[in-house]
Parts: sequence; C-alpha cells; structure tokens
Amino acid sequence: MNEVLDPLLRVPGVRCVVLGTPDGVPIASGGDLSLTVAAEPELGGGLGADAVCGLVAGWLASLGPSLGLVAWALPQRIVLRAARNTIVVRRSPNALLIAMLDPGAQAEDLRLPMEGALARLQRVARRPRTSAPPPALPSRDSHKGPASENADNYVLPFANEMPG
Amino acid sequence: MSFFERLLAKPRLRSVRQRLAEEPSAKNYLALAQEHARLGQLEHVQRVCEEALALYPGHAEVARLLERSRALVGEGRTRALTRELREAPRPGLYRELAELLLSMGRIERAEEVAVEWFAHNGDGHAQLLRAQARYQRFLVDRRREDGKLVQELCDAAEKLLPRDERPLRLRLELCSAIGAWRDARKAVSQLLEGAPGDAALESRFRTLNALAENAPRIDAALREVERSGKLATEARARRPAPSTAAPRSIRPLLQQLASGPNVQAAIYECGSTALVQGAKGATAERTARAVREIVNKSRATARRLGAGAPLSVELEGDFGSVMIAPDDTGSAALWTTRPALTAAQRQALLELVGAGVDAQAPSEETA
Repeated sequence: MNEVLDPLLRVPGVRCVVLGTPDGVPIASGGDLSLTVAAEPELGGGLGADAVCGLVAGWLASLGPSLGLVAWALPQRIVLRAARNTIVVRRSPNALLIAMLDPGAQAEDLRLPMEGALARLQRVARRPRTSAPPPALPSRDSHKGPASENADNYVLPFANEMPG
Repeated sequence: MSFFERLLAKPRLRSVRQRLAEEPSAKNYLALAQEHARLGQLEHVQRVCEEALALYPGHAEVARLLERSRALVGEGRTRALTRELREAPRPGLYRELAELLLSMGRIERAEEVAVEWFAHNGDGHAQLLRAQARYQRFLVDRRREDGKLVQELCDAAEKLLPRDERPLRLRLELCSAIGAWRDARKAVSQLLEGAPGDAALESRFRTLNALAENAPRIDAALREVERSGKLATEARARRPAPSTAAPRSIRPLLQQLASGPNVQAAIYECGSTALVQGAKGATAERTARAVREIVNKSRATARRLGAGAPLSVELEGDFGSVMIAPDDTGSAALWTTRPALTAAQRQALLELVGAGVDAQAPSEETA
C-alpha cells in the first residue's frame, strides 16, 4: 500500500494518511498519527489509525440520515477544516482515504493527489496475484496441473474395448 | 553582529532617537524599535514598544513588534532553562519553564514539562500546573476527556497541597465555565472554609445557590459542552442584540450569495431560526435542518479527533457541493450544483458568518 500512500505523504502540510474500509477498519496508514491526535487523557497517547478510521467512518455514517432529509447521497469528498488541523476524506465504494493536514495547509492541494491515490488503489486491487497460496483442497481441474501430468496414462479403457 | 556593523549602527540609532524626540509619532517609535531589533537589543525593543503603545494604543505594527520581541525573549529563556534542567534539574526551574511555556501558549509542551516535573519529585505544584495547562486545552478543544482530566488533576493537587486554594479556584473556574453550578457551589463553600467572611466569595456563593437548582452534574455538563461546543458562559452571553460592529442586515448578503450561478440555496442559522434564500417551503426547512445536524455531528467529530473547533465543512457529491461555516453565534451554508465552490463563494460565506451580521432581521423562510 506504500505506493498508494507515499505520494500523499510527500505533499507539503500532510501530517498523516489513513486508508480504511468504508466501515472503519484501517488497511494502511502513514505519517505521524501520534502528533495529529495528541488530545488524549494521557500524554503521548495518540488515537491511532484504527480510532481515526473508526471515528471518521462513524461520522460519515451519522451524516447519512441528515443528508437523506434533502435527498443528498453520501458525499464523495468531505473537508473538515478545524482550529488545529484539517481533515480531508475521499470516499470510494470500497475504501476510505483520510488525510490530516497541518493548520496552514490547503485541502485543495490534495484534491488531485487523492484522486490519483484512489485510482492507484483500484489498479492495485485489479492486479492479478503472481504467487497465489496453494488451495486447501485440489480443484476439479487439478488433473490438468503439472502435479498430475502422468494422469492421462492411466485412462481406463471403455467396456467395449475390453479384450475377450 | 560584527564590531563594524555595531559601530556603523550607532549614528543611525542616534538620529532616529533625535527624530523621535522632535516628533513622538508612532512611525518614529516604530523606527527606533526596529533599529534596536536590528542590534539584537530585545529588552530595548520591548521598552520602546510599550512606551509607544501607551501613547498610541492599538497600533498594529507596534503591537506586532512587541509580541514578536516578547516571543523571542521567551524562546531564549526557554532554551536556557531547558539546558539548565538537562544539567541539574530542580523544582524552581521546572516551574519557571512550565509557566513560561504556558504564558507563550505552548500548552502541550508546558504539560510535558509538568509531567516530567511530577515524575522527578512528585510535587503537587506540578499537578496543578498540568491541570492549568489541560484546562487551557479544554477551553480550546472543548473535549469531555480534557475536562475530566482537569478534575482528576485538581483532586490530586488538592491532596498534595492541602492548604493551597489554587486547585479549588481552578475547579471553580472549570465548573463555572461548563455550567456545573452545584459543583461550583461546593468549590466556593470549600474556599469559604479557608477564608471565612470573604465578601466576594460569599456573594458568589449566593449567586451559585440560585443557579444550582436544576444544574447538571459535572459529567453531564462536560458532555453537553462537547456536544454543543459552547461553554455555559458563552451560551448565556449569546447576543440577542444587533451587532454594532457590523450593522448590516443578513438578507441582502444571503440574496447576493443566492443570486450566483448554479446556487441552489444560501442559508444562515442562528439558534432555532434559519434564513433561507433560494429554496422554498418544505425544501428550505429540510435543508436548514440538515445543515444544523451536519454542523452538530461535525463539531463532535472534530473534537474527538483532537482537531479543535470546526471552522468549515465542505461536502462534494452527486448533489453538487455544500459548504457550511459554523461559528459561535450561527452557521452559514451555501449549496451549489457545481462540483466545487469557487474561491469567491467560499470567501463570501466566511465573511457572512464572521461579520457578526444582525440575524434578527425578518426571514424569508423560517425553519
């Protein structure tokens, strides 16, 4: 996932990036999350990627009923500019990309990089796996595989071909 | 600065001083302060700026220079104290450093120093300073967790400093800020035990006694502050009177926003009143309610994420784009069918909410 998140982390002003599922489970994260969310009861205890992802997913879910009042679908891009930092969320059907910015940074600077990151993510998801793990059970076509290349030698003769 | 540069600067400094003596204008004061700043004489800069501000209060350039020089002096002292602490830590140094950082607004660093100080010798003053730092953070972020921690730290400080009234004062401040009047009354009564007959405290006790009837407990009050983003004092001081600073009516501004291309609705909300331009009837009502709910939910999320008070929320989707700018007094929102708002529209919306407009004007549509 580094190839998806690294370009975003190189944008000036980006503190951290979290990639998660739409229901709030983090997949990957980069940057300094502890700095971003240091407002914890104990010093040094940041919320972490899972909490950030969960909170943002919960927030988006809670917006659903409010948006439904005016028949608006869930937004694809949300920018929450706050006193300490800015939170940019880009939502796709199967992923949630969250970026946290420093106070002076512009959310507009992240528009294209985030689109690019999501496009890269889709490409990564579509890419065929080069080394698939072995299946637990042999498949139906397993006789065609290299492990059964001698299987053809053991084809039984049909009954009408039987001698005698 | 080299010796020659210093030598060359002397006649320049003398001439600026003479100019100031002949004509004590803000411009000449500023020139002298800048000359001192160039020589690295920060104490002189502060003295000249303070003198100038006494004559020309509110002069922005002089005030900025004074602030900058104070910050530089503070930075220098912070570095020296940090170095001393590294070599030979002692409580006096910890206290000075933490207080200095707190006065400079570096709350997180001040709290770190207080934690280090407490770990060093378990001093009650360290807990008190940490409570003060955390209280400052609570005022900024309005998070329930911060408020609870202030309360716990005050408890700890009270145990360690039984005769010190400062933890009780801080608790009183917290409880008064969040509207936990019963707990505030308790803190005042404890303070009165230490200073019986104090007229100010007795008067405050009587006021709190009147307020404490149906007041929430501290946990409930903290939860309410986190939800609404408003302190009890702010909620009471919410202005019903028109602003004198910007005596404009809101309707022309909203109409101007709504007349833009592709604009579906322009909304301003203040309390339970919403002024909507563009959308009509039930649609206006629903849109205003949606905006209010989005603001409330975003406010709570921003606080939980440690991002502080929200300044704006932008949503982009199939419906177009919506920008909401919440404020202490109200929220302004703009809905367009374009994929994103223009910079001018953003600016206009922020000006609308920040202008302190008179929201008491009659509404087009009330939701």
